[in-house]
Amino acid sequence: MTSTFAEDQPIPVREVSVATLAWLGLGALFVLVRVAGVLNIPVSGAELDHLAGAWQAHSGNSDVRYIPTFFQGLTAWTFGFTESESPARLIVVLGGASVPLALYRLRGVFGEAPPLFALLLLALDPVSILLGSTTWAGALDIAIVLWLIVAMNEKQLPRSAVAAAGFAAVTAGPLVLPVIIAAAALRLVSQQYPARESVAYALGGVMVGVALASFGFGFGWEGPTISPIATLAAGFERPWSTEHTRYLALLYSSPIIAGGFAAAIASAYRNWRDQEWPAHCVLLYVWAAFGSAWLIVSGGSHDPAPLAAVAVPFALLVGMEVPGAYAALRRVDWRWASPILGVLLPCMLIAEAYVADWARAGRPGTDSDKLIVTGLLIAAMACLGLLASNRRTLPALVLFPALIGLLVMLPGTSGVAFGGPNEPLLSPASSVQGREIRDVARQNQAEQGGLIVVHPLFEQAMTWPFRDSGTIVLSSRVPPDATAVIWPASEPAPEGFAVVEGEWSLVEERHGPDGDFLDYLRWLNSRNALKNTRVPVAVYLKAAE
Amino acid sequence: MADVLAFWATALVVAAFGFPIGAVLLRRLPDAGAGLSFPLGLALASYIYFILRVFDVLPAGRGGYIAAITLLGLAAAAVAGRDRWLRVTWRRAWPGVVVAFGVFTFAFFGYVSFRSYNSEIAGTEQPMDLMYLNATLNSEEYPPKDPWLAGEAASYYYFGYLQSGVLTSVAAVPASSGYNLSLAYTFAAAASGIASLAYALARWVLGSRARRPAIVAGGLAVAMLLFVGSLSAVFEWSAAHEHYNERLYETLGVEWLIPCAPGQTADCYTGQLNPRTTEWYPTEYWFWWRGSRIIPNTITEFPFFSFLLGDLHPHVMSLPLVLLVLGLAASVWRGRSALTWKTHRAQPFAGAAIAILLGALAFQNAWDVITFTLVFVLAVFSRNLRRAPPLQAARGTLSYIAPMAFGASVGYLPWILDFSSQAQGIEPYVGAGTRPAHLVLQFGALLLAGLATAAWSFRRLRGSVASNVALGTAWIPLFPFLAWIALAMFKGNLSDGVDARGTGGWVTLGIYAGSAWVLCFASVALGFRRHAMAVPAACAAIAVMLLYGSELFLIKDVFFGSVPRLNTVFKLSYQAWVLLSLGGAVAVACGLRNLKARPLAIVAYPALVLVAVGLCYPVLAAFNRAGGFTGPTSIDGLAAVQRSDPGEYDLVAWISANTPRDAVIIESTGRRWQPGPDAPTLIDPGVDYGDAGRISARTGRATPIGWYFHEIQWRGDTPANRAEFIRRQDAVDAAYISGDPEKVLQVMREFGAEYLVVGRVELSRYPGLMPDFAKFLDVAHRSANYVIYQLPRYGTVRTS
Repeated sequence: MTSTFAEDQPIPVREVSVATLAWLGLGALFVLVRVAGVLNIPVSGAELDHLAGAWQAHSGNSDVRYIPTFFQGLTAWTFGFTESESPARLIVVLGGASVPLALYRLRGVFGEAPPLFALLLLALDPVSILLGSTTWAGALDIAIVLWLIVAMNEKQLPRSAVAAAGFAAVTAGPLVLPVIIAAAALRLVSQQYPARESVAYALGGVMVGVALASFGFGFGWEGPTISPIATLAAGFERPWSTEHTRYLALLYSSPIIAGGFAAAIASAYRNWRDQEWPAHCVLLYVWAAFGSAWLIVSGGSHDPAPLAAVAVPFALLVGMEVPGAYAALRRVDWRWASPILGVLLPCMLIAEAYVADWARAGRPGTDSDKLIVTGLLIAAMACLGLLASNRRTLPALVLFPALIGLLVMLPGTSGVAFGGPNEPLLSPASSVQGREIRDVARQNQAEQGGLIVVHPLFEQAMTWPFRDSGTIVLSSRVPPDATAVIWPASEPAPEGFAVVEGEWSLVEERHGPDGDFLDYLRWLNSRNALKNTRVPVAVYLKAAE
Repeated sequence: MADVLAFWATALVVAAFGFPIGAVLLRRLPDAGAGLSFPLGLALASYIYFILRVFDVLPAGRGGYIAAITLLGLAAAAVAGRDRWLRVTWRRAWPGVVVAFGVFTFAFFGYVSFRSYNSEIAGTEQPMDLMYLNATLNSEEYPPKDPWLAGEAASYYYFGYLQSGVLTSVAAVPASSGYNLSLAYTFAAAASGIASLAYALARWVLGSRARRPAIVAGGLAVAMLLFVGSLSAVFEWSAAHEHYNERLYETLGVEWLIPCAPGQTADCYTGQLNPRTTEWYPTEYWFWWRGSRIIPNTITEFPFFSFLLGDLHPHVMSLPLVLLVLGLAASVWRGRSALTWKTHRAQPFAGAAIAILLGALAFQNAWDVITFTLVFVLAVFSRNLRRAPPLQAARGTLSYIAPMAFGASVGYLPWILDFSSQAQGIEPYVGAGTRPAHLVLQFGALLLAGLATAAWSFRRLRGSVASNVALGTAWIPLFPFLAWIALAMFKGNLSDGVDARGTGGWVTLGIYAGSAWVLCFASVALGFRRHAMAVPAACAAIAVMLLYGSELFLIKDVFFGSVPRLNTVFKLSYQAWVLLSLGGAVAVACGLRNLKARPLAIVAYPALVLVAVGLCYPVLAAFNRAGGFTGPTSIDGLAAVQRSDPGEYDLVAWISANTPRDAVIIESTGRRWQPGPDAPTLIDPGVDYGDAGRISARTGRATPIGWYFHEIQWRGDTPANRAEFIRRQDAVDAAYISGDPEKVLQVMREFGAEYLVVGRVELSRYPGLMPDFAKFLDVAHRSANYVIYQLPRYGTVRTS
């Protein structure tokens, strides 16, 4: 009997660890979610402001919306060959794709699970998705932040990398500030300064970055500019979201913030108990503290960036606690815990169903309904109490907030990634009609000649939809040679002009649920519960003579 | 409430950043300077903001302020990292830190509660203060522009407003609330500062075990600085209830409380009678104002009055900084090694920080820089004197101070270049002297307390040393008097001066001279022994010298022709109040403890009685000011405008929200016009202390001209200035009353103004005189009868 060589040799088996699979899977998830964002998220919020600013810079107009970060410069540069935001968004995704890699490199510092779990959280965090898929000034910040952490933990860094890190840090957006300040503060307190040579190279990168930023990356002198500080300052002034930052935090980031705080407290307690303060933990605490401070002081601003600034350290902090939580869950006596959870979950689900029904109706139910819900909640609390009362079942409690956190987070994840029309995070948005208005005006101008006139109230709103439209006149009074007029809908029609029928707008705004808890719940259950508001404009064309 | 909490939390964060730096500079204090870390942190953060804004490194707006505080935090981290003793210091000082922050918090919320009953920013110079606060907050360029003189840089010592701006902006509080909260901050920072300092001095005097008397000293110092008022309040109270003795009142110099006799109009009571009050406290409108005008033709303001009135003036805002410099001086005096230029080589950052703080004295309230820098220099000299003979000590002191003086001058150059001082030199005072009764009413309690420091000086001093010191220190009060004679002779009005002073005036001068001699003797005698009471004694001595000096000399300024020594007495007596409060509180608290060993300290008892009498003023005045604490409460200084004139409030809100920070607006000059037979007639040219520039003050947007006479005060009384300011007034008024659209547009273009306001004030100042602006201007905003007009806009934008 003969046999082939192939039959004789054992088939070579390449072992792939679960961790590797997890890295690959989560990395793919991270990138795919952002690709979905690139394809679906409308031009809105900070991106709308920054695209307009970049376009203005490209057109040679001075504009406060152009904040010379490296990425803003890059975006303005792409407008040299396209009027679309897509190439810039592609750059964002390519940059963002390095986030899994950076986190992978951080395994050496944090261990396997924390960065992996952080990757999962960052993949699902709605704010990180938005700011990692759209072309706002700090679009590459999350990646830069993580690579800076990688660089800080390298024992030997090539000089060129040190200079590049200095350049990247000083030309990035504001998200790098908390980590840089945290690292600087810790170095200053511990008196552990880097080698002079490294400082010199980093300073070299910084100087080049500041010089380039000050010259607007080739788009004109902007004055001495430190990009992260300039972007941070702009975040307090500019309308990068319709809702206040603190409200966005409540709507989108409450799970990651609550989880991060809890994880920070647990981790700090363990360090205090063991009298061991690993450097990477301390850096995370201080970083998260500075990020939180930024979030607190920006509560009344209209800037989602602070939410992303806390998301990264909090994701790592939560990740650090996951192995411990998992180990604790494995120690749970499920003979006791399962029945309790078996009662708890139905109680919560039924209560939720009732409350969701009230939310849909917009008012609380009947007294008997209230009684039932109260009873269910008391039963649920009792179950929680039972879980908490026994050391063998206590760790199972962690499942409860984790589940609620996921329930709150996931609708936001899908809503943002797929550009849902009822996401307050994606507001103010450039309306799809903006380009139509521009086309109508341009066509009319081509036929009749004359000027396209826009009221100064819409000076900022028109920049992006009216890009590449030649010269536009901004005037508060209709000049005699105007042929197309974009005017406030509340103002009377100019004489000799015919209105173009339609409900026109340049900007759409999406406010969050503005009532009580039931309103919020209704929005959480059904994203279609919000009303979109448009800033109405009237379009007039010169009547044919 | 959210605004209040945000402001308070911001103040605590800034103080926490200041603490590690204070722990190095003020380590010798028992709380390691925690009580003074509020002004320390705030002054340094504000300086960082100022200098980086000047060089355009920090952006305008809130981000710039937050970046400045962050940089302070990094500086604090660097100091903490270098400080080998920080842990030990912290272990020793943490109870003091807790107490300091507790005192601050208690005082802050206490004052906020009081102020919420009278939060309106109106009257006196409060609109001006709000204007400067808004100027520092909103100026696109630094040094900031003067909103009441469009296009010109501010020419005033505005560092206090800048500091208020840091807290206001970071806390995200509107300026109209930030104004009131800044007052609360100043009150609280002054309370924690003087409590910390008095506690430290008492501990140094009595030893580290004597905690209780030291706590008494801290509490007493807070009471004397921030609560004690004019003793006249007792007589006000009595008179309000119709109890007065005419002879006694005349003797005590409060004859203005006696109802006017028929035909009499001056120096008597002209208010309501039968009853004079409807409550247990005097209800006469602002009766407490008289307590700040005890000495005729002067202002004798004291801290409680300042906080009662609520003017956010530089001399008020500087209280915490002044206390910080006194703390630095005390800390320096307490040290041992000689201070020379070599000290800076070893501790460059400490020298830089002190230079910034001493320079800040001038930037915050120019009057303070000479007095309190002198205190600091004397502390350095006194310390060096313990190590070296006088000449060498003086050389060392000079070499220590000179680099800091140079650094401060360079560091504040951007402000100095824009600042135009109104001081025109020193003149001998040749008017009526202060009556002894007024001296007692105004300064009696503090002066007596200050004199108690002398009780420590007469022990363990050999006769020859004592006589040498006594003879030497006699020159200190004698020299100014001889200088006064010489200067008055030189000016040719010595005999007038001698006559005009009057018997009472000479007695007062004698009291001051005698007190100054005793206190100078005490401070020098104690200083030789390195006895800690030398510091309170020196504070009291300098205070009395300031009061004495203001009887002999005056700083010539724009008031010279009418009320020549108004500002001199005002500003110097305010400084004296701070110094006497500190020195007196420590002396009284220590005196009560050491009465057996130091019988002369018996003077502490009558001082304490007078202090208690002085506490009548705050009780009565606070109830009067707050209307018995019954009205509506708010911390927003414009809440009253919102209630009484919502349209006017709306104009302010719209301009704040919808115009660029560097926008220029045209609003009424405040001059009143009426239609005349041929042309409009000017019927009231007075503008200061009125509504002129009110939109500008409330928003920080510039207007061509605000308060005319205040601009004169800030920029000098020159023909060119007068002509320019009147030209601006004429131009703005012409825009409202000429009726010529071309003129309106010309005025707006000349000043770069895009907006023209027609609100309550314009309607009342130009009745029936204004054209229909809507015919040639755009209506930007309309609110009831009020309108904001905007220049028609036309421009082109390249979109490709």
